[in-house]
Amino acid sequence: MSKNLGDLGGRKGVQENLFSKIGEAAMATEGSPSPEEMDRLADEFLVGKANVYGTATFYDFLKPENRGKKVYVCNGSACLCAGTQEGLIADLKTRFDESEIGHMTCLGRCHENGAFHYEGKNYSALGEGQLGAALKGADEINVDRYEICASGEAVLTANFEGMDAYATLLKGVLAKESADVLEEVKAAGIRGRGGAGFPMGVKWEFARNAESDLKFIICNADEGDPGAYSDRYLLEQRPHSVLFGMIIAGYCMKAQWGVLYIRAEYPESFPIVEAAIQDFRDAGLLGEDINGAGFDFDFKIVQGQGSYICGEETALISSIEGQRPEVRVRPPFPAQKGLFNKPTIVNNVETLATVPYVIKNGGAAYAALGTEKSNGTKLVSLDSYFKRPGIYEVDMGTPLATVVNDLGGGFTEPVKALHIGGPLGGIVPSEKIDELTIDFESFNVGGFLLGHASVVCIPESFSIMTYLEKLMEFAAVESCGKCFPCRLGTKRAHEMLESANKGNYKIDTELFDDLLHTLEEGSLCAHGGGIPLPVKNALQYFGEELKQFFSKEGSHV
Amino acid sequence: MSKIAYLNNKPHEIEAGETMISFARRALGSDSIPTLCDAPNLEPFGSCRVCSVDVALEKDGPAKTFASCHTPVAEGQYIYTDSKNVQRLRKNIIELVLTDHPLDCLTCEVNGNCELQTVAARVGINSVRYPEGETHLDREKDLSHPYMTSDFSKCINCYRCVRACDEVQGEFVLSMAGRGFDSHIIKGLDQSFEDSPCVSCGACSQACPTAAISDVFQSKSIANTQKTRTVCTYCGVGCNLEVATSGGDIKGIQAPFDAEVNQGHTCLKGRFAFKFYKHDDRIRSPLIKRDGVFEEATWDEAYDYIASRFRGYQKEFGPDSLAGISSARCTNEENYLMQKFFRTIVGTNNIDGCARVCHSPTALGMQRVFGTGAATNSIDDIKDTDAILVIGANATEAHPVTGAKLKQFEMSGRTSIVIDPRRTELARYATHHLQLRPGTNVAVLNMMMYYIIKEGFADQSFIDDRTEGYEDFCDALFKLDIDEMESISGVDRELVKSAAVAYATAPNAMSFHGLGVPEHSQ
Ligand SMILES: Cc1cc2nc3c(=O)[nH]c(=O)nc-3n(C[C@H](O)[C@H](O)[C@H](O)COP(=O)(O)O)c2cc1C
Ligand code: SF4
Ligand code: SF4
Repeated sequence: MSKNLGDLGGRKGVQENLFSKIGEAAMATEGSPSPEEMDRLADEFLVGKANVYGTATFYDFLKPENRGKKVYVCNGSACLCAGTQEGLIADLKTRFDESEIGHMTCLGRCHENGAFHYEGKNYSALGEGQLGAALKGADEINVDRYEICASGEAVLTANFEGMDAYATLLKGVLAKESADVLEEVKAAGIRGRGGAGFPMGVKWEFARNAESDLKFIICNADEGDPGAYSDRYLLEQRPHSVLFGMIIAGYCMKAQWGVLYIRAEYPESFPIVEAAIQDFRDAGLLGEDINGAGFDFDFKIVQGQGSYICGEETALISSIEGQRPEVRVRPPFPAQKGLFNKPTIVNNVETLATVPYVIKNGGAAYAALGTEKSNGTKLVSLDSYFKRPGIYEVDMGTPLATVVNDLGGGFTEPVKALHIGGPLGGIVPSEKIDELTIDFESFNVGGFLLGHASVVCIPESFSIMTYLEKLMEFAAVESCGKCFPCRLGTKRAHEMLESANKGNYKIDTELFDDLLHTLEEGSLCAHGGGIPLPVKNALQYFGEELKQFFSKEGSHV
Repeated sequence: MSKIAYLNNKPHEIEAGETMISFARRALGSDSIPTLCDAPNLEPFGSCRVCSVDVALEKDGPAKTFASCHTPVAEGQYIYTDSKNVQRLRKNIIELVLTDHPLDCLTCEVNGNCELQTVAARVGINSVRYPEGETHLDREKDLSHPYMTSDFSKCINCYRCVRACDEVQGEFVLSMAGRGFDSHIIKGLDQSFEDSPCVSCGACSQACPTAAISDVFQSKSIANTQKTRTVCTYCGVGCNLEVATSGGDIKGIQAPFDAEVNQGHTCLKGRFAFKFYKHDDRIRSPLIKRDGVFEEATWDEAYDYIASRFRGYQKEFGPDSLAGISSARCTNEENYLMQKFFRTIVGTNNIDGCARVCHSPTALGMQRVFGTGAATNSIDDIKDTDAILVIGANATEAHPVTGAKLKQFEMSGRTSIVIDPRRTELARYATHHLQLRPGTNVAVLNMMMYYIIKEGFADQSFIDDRTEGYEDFCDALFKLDIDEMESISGVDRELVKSAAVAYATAPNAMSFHGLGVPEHSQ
């Protein structure tokens, strides 16, 4: 991260941000900005050409290789395990040149799979007819259907009561002292749903106490975890709750801007969120001196460009600034120096979406839900191996077995493990399902990670080695490359897994152990630091299946 | 009360705000913790992770691993700089680095002076256990540039070059491109050094811990063992230089980090433009002109000749018949000696320097206003000021090391006013650029003063205590016709006004002028 580039980006402000302009330049030139345009942007923003080029080449949808891509096939883990993509690619090859077919990692259609992206829309090709219809742009194919259900209190999945009700609620809050509102949010004790589980109210307080006449609240809608689509659900079906949460955050921490960083892989989310912003604007709840409370606030949507690491909050901040989204060291924390070096809070979509409930029912009501240490409810997303795939809202502390069997209706075919909480989450063998409950502590104690609570099934028939190989490929491809252990370690780990899986090589157990140790202890962020967890789970629970690929010294076969 | 933390179980006092690595370096010595991405003049970055240490809350208690370069030390921590765990981690990181690094140390230009080599030896790598994988060893060398070279097959992705170009020179020529294992250093839009906007300051090459970025002189080669510390004579910044020589020949020049003036930085002139010292066009011995022709002479002959002629004129026509002129390219010490020689030995005040042309108005003006004909601030004060005003100075070109500091200041977004007819580099980054017609400085400055006083920003107590003739000054100022000033200078009055207000309202402000101002009095 560069302080200078942050400051220079700040001169133009978030509305005119360099990153969005590079994105526009890429759109105008077939998927990657031209050298002339990069040169021009560098000049306009007073940065180096190398900076613009360095940024553009980082992202899947900006880099020169993206030029000419017409259709993107999902290569997320749920689609991989579902086995739908090989056939889809074969079908697409009859209609497109191979060079026109690209990849997107997880389109959030894990409930039906066979997912692909074409001309700004996502589809699932579930049969030959559907693919044809999709490519003709038939809207009904674009619609996706999945179960949505709350097993207990509906905090997040409750029906949207309409803009009028929200406007009244919001106006009521803005009449109160912001310090009191913050106390209410703190009392709810909601812990961040983006992975780290840090209490939201405490974070807001840090930013509130930071001196600055410009602050930002960022909604992390980069839901990059393959297999997760609960944020997509909220963005597309409960956008007002998310925006409401951001306005309250802004009010409590005295921020002027709410920035939504939404991944490009969720194209349907953009118009929906924009329309919801318009609802707030029409209700007079955006702009200057809102409701006479001396509070100025507005929204800005920033579109991601295809990079998992942008979900990491400091990378996300650099991304908006038009810098390369490489993870930053802390301190300084974003609450002190974040976007454009101004105090910034990044919260996950689901975290922010709880705020209306807290405001309406009080912090104590929210805190009463869930377990002692994990308050509230959690959305769990189930993939297409469940009989009833969908988004389930459960009280924290609900047994995993209830989710799997009662809500999800069990599996459509034998499943040996669940990968829960995204790529950096643990691989839970089927026999452990009965031991876990949906909360941070249960998963930690069990040696797993709740994360964003997405569930991807690994069926009996699917090789764990292949799963690990693909997982490590993902880790390597998505590594930001800043720190040595992850940049080199994920690559070497992938190479070893790949060549062992092909049968060319047996992995040196001691070397592999050293490598996992290096990643875990040495990595700058939880990407490199977290990837050993599922690998270790697999080694522990599927040792029998994996042992043929390892040997004590490591050797070529 | 002093605060204590423990290093390998021994208590040491910690300083507020210091990182674990600076704490350890202060207490245990500068190389107590190995690192590859940390550099003395760069912000902590945290990419190599080699500086990792174990940290416990009690003696030999359960420890967590932290990168010491960017983690602040806290009271009561037990820091283990060399635990088994840390040793294992460091060794394995370096082993990974070596899976993508040529193993041809013995023929490498920095052999013996390579930080990777040093760290690898220190952590004790004896073999690379990984099976053969993808590498970047086939990257091509870039020898396009008159000074800078690169061989990115040797790059370890520490970002030191990128950070030096950004944090020190402020030029943004270098960046990483691509991501993950494919990330690689680029220049400009992935161009050669020659085609890139590189300004040849050499900061990246000095920062690079390997031979991945170097220069045509191979300045980092260990063969150049003889080092002489000196001062650059190109411009008034006075950068300290460390000149490496072998057999009396200059091999390369680096900028020492402990130099107060230039803190490990210098510009292309100081670092690379030294070849003139042995150029064929230079005279190699004193020349005495006899009958209109220069003839080579020995130093003894020359001195004898000077002495006898000087004495002759002195006797015949008096000391004032002689005059000396010296040069700004000489050091202060040399100039001092020259005037001493003329005043005390020759006995005349006829002594001058080439700076007369450029600086006499400065010296006179400053002396009248401030009491001394010299700068009232040191360059270091840039760190503490809130606003700068630069007039008639193109510092990034003429005084690049100070220019870079000014540019760094401007990039932070603090008030910076540049008064210059040209859109200089500093003008590009300034918050206010007053682009006046050449030769109309006085009009613009008058307008500025007018607005400062009119808008009520004059510091009355300062004026009362330390100035004289203020009323007369105001009278004269208020008689000025702003319409006329505006049309003379060509600068919009509103722009001047906003610059004046910004300058006047900054708690601390510093002003800089260059030859664009005094040379107008010629
Ligand atoms: C590799 C990596 C990827 C991440 N991806 C996401 C993401 O897609 N969405 C998200 O909300 N948080 C993600 N995070 C977590 C964020 O860094 C951050 O903790 C979170 O947005 C904070 O919001 P919360 O406090 O509301 O959870 C990721 C973290 C890492 C290390
Ligand atoms: S762990 Fe990986 S993703 Fe995280 S900072 Fe290091 S290289 Fe980047
Ligand atoms: S060129 Fe040198 S300084 Fe730059 S990243 Fe590579 S090794 Fe580091």
